[in-house]
Amino acid sequence: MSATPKLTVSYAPFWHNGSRISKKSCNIFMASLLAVVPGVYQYGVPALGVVALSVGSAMMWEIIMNILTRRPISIGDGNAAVIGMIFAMLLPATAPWWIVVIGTCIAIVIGKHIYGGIGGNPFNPVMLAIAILMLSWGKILDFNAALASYAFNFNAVYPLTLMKSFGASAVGGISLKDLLMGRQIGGIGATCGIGLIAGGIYLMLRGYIRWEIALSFLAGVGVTALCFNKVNPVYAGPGIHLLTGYTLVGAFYLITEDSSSPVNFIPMMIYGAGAGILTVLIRNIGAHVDGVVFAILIANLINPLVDKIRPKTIGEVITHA
Amino acid sequence: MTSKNEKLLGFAVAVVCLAVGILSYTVVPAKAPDLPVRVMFHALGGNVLFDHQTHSDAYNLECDDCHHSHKDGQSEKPDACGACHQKDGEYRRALGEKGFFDHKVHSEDYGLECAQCHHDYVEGKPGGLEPCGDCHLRDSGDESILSYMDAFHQQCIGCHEEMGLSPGKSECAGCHTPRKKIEAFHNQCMGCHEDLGAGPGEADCKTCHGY
Repeated sequence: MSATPKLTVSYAPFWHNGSRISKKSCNIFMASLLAVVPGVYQYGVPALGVVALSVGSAMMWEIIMNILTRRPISIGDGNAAVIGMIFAMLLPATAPWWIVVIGTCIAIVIGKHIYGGIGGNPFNPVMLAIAILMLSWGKILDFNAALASYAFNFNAVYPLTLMKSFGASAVGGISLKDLLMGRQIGGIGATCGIGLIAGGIYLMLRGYIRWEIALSFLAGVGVTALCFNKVNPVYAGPGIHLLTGYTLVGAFYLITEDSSSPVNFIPMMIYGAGAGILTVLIRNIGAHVDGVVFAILIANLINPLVDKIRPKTIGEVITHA
Repeated sequence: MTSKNEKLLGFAVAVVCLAVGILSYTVVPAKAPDLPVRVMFHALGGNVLFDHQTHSDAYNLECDDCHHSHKDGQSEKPDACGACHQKDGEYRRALGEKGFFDHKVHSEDYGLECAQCHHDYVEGKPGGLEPCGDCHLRDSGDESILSYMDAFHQQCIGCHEEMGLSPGKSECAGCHTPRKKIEAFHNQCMGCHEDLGAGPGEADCKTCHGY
């Protein structure tokens, strides 16, 4: 009889609850359309091209990696399509095709498959890809320059750049209602606040993303921005921080990615709030205009550590069985 | 839905998305507007986003308010900003090959001092004025660039007077040595003397050329 300790969780038979990765991916994909469709409406066919190419190329890279690693074709689970869709949400409508293809390659190959595929990645694949692109081709992701040829009926300057360069007074005239309705420039699926919030609420209610992480992230951003604003009014208040840049898309589609986020309550709160605080720190006193990307990547780094704060293991360890 | 059906659906979505993406990029590429809406200048101090709409709506400026001095005289349309202000961040040299840049307009109409433009061009000498002779040679071979002498007489001398710098209007000899002074007087001074009725004029050769 073996003396190796064994973990007894529960007794057979087990019953599958019917949930499938494909169902979850489908729901996230559909929810993201609430923010992406207004973006495509605003920027036209070029935005549609970016979204379609991003989703298609992400799935193409998934198939290629499946073949190269001799694993079953996994595009049916929809995870690659979701990665492609979320990646497209962060890009300007004028992103050249090669940036899209390289970005999805980084996300799928380096961000996901190198670590063993779905569930094994320590970093959010989309965040990893966009961070590498930001550092390599920053000018292409400069929304002010990228969208300079579009005529809008609102002040078409990236609010975070205004805030960074000229302080809170420069964004004082921007109404939060306009930001909610998408009357700002930015990523294809990152500007329509109302669409992002609606999609996020749906995903939280259905349990596809963890509300603890999303809301603690938003709370971290809001409270930190409020503190900065109260100490020195030159820093913008929480409303602007919450409704501009990648904040909302980060809260509902990026930081909640399963594999790179914790699973217990207290770690989730620390993880989300920490990323929110870091976001505002980077925006207000850091070098980058938007801090969401690097804040989430740093939060991904601390994920294994904070997730050690967990309740006592269910079940018991026995020395004979 | 079975796993097989999911896989088939995945293939279908991938093919459709790739097709739509490629078609969107090739058939309907993003085209630039006829007139620039906003222009991103990459300046020494950082990027500057210029918004035409803000300047026309908020400041009530007409196109010609800014584009008036750059007309080449052949076209009614204002010149493109990039004709002088290059997007790649490199300064076009003053009085460039097309001679569009007009010092007089920039100093008189816009009230610009020389040093506001010529402040940091000297490599290894931050804040130092660019030597005039860098552009204004004795004979540059470019009709649009004044010679060193003409540039000084037409553009520099006024500032020298105001700032008390030497040489000024009354210090011809500061540049013109005795020989050069004769040439200078004959070529440039006599006209004013005639107009003002002062000093030796064209009919007063003996005043200088004594027996």
